[in-house]
Amino acid sequence: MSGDTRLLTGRGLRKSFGATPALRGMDLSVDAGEVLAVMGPSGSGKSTLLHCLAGILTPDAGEVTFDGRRVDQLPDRERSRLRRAEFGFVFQFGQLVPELPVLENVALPLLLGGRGRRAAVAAAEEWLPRLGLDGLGRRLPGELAGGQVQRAAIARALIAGPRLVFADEPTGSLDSVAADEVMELLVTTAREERIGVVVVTHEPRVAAYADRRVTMRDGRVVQPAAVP
Amino acid sequence: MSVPLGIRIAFAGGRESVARMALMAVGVAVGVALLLFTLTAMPVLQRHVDRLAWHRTTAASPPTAPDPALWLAVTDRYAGQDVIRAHVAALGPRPPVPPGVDRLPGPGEVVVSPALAELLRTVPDDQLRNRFPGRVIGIIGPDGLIAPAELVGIVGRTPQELRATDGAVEIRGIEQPGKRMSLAGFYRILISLVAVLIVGPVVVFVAMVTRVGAARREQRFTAIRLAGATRLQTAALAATETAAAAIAGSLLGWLGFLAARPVVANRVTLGHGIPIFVEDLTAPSWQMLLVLVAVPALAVATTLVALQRVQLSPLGAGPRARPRSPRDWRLVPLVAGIAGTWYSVKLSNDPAYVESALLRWLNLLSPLSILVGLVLAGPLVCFWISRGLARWSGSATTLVAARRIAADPYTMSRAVSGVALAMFVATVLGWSATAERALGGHPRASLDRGVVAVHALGVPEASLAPLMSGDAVVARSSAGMLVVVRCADLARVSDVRCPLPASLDGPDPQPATELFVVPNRFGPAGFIEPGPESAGLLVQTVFVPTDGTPAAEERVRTLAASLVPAARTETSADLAARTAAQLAWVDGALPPAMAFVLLVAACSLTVATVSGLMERRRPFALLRASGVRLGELRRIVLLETGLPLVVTALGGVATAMLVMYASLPREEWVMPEIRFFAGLGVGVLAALAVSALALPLMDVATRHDSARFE
Repeated sequence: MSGDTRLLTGRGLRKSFGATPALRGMDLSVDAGEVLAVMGPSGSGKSTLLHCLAGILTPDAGEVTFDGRRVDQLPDRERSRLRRAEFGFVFQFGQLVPELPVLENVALPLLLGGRGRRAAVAAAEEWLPRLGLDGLGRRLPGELAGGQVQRAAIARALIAGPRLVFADEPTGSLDSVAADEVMELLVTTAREERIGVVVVTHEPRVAAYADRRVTMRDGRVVQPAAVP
Repeated sequence: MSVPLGIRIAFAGGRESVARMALMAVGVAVGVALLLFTLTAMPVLQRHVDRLAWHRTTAASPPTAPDPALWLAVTDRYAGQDVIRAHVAALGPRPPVPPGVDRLPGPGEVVVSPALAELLRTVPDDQLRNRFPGRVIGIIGPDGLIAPAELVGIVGRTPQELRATDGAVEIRGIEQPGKRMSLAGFYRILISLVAVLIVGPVVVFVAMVTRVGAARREQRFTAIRLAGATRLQTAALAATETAAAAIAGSLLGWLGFLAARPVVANRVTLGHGIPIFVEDLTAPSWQMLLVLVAVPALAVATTLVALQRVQLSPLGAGPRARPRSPRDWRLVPLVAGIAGTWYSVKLSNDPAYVESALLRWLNLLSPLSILVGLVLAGPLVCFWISRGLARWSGSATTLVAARRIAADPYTMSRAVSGVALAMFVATVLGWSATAERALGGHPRASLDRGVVAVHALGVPEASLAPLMSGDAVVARSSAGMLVVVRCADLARVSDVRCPLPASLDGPDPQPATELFVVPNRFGPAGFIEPGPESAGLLVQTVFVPTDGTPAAEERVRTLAASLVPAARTETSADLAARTAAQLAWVDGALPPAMAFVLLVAACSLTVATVSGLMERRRPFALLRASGVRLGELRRIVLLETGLPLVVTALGGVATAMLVMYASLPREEWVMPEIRFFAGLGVGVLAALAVSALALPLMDVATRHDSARFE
């Protein structure tokens, strides 16, 4: 991948929780439209890396650049805007608002961005069939199967037209069939829309969907080594 | 966008959302109603004093009319109730007029209160009517009454009649409300203390109620933050949700206040034995409005503070680090408050400091510091409980409860801190009442049953001839306010012991004094036995024995009033009632204090139990799915709320005992009766029982479908 397509770069990222280091100088980059898998055992710092790259956590040291802007130096308001407009998120669980039906959950980023309710819901309705959620828009998250919840989460991650989707163990709570369905949908749709994806997983089966894989251990990349 | 979305999210979660919002609204309603009633305390007292103003009319009252009048007001009794009899005679065409009437009754005319008018219709004339000679020409309106059932009559006389009556004075005006007697000035410190004591627990309770479902809410807003909501948007969503419930609760509380006013007014007698006017139970509009606005604002502020973790990081609801163990410094405000109380009492005994700003501040800040200290010390106490429980636990149930308390002593403490404050307040009130009772309980004389004491206050014996039966005991007044009476005769109609003291300068109160005291008119300085020269002295009091029936007693009273308009009469029941009235606030303060404890404790615990269940549906459902019995889950919930409750309740009582020990002189430090402590205990147990009503929810909340992650 060439430098002019580079979308997100993390350099020298360090992050500790109390006395426990989670990242010990991480370097990583993601290109536009690239699907990158970050692998590693539990406690290797994968999720912390994802949170730092997405601007959810601020690293103790190092820098995160997205589209030429220092994400780690942006004020909270700007980082919120970035999460709403440029990024999408799919997590293992807990990312849907339990009180809202699927349709409104999917429409949430647009509603938060100031889009009118009718327009936001109309946009959400267009996404549901693409992710196999036809007819489920009025259901609450608690009334769906795990795979359906994850598909709704993917729809919500993609609806605002992000340039990058962060997925943290998106299939962690699913059986292998549902996991394959979810990954297939996520990767296929992302490629159709030319959206980059950073997927954190410890499952090789999930990582196999990626264009590129990096493996972490003890807060560092062990394979392959990092940003040129 | 945030407000409609906030409302939608608040109500979109089906029955659980509605239950959560309803619980919050009801909690806020209870808090608002309590605060509104607290606000009415001072206005009720002031309004009472204002309504009594015209009864205090004297020659010194400021002019209110161009022409003067003659005035003689007497407080008499009928069937255990005060009867006010005002004799008036206009000295010109435009005399001063009491409130509630259009004009002064002329000679031979009478105006009476509605309750007295009703009595006059039903009671034989010689028992009541003859005390008000003349034709009833009108009814006194509410402005002239202290209570709807007050017995008061204004009797029109000729100037000549009143000039010949001892005690009548010329007045230029009727005493007006608020001009010369403002309670706010007298009781500023007391009112500040009561306000702090009552408002403190209610505020803590409201703050706790708004945290119902806090964990779930945190989870929801984390999801929204991750979807790109800014801090401001999240705050607006959270504020909308809480404000919706709190505003509804405020309105509900206001309606509850309006609905409960007649019930409360019916219980408030202010020592007169008759309920006050419902409309007196009110507070200035701006104060009521302030409560209706401030409570939702407090609720919203509490929500926003609770949301801080989500605000700082969108990962706020993720796995959290164990909160830091509470430190010992949390005891400092409590100790400082108790020390401040002790020091303020010490200063108040020094005349140089009685009016000082230092003392005023100490009086205000010490109880405040204790209340804040009780709240701050709560987590530390809960932490100690968890350590003790974990060390001594022999079952999985107690171990889980102990670990749960240890995991977050702050949350546990919040659930029961309202109870600690309420117990503190109730104990302080109860203890003060006991001390007051001990002070007021000095020995008093009593008349024998059936004896009527007619206080004529200095009239020739001939004026009272119809009362002078063979058994009557006559006490005369001599120079120097000495009472001339044969002790052996007095002992026939009362329980006094002879000899009677010649002087009352000694420190011990003399029981016999009570038989002759007429409030604001006469208090004897001593007693002497009659001699040959005593027959010419004016009569102070005549003790008239009767057959003991109420009718006979009332006949004597009525006869006395018709013979000597200024006469005041008393029976043994009236003497006992006088003592009871002095201690009325003592007896009146305890039941509301108990009710306050029960209400705050029950609400706090119910909220804690329900919100604890709502927040832990999934782990409990998983435990149940893995074989833990429902009864064991219930025991965990009861233990983790009940144990901190009992310990903090004891802490509140112990703190109050320390405060009272620091406040009261040693001789007044009297332990309340065991029934007082039993009452507190029953209150706490009842609170626990009420909160246990939420436990049946547990079965529904922990069914297997709750184990699903969303």
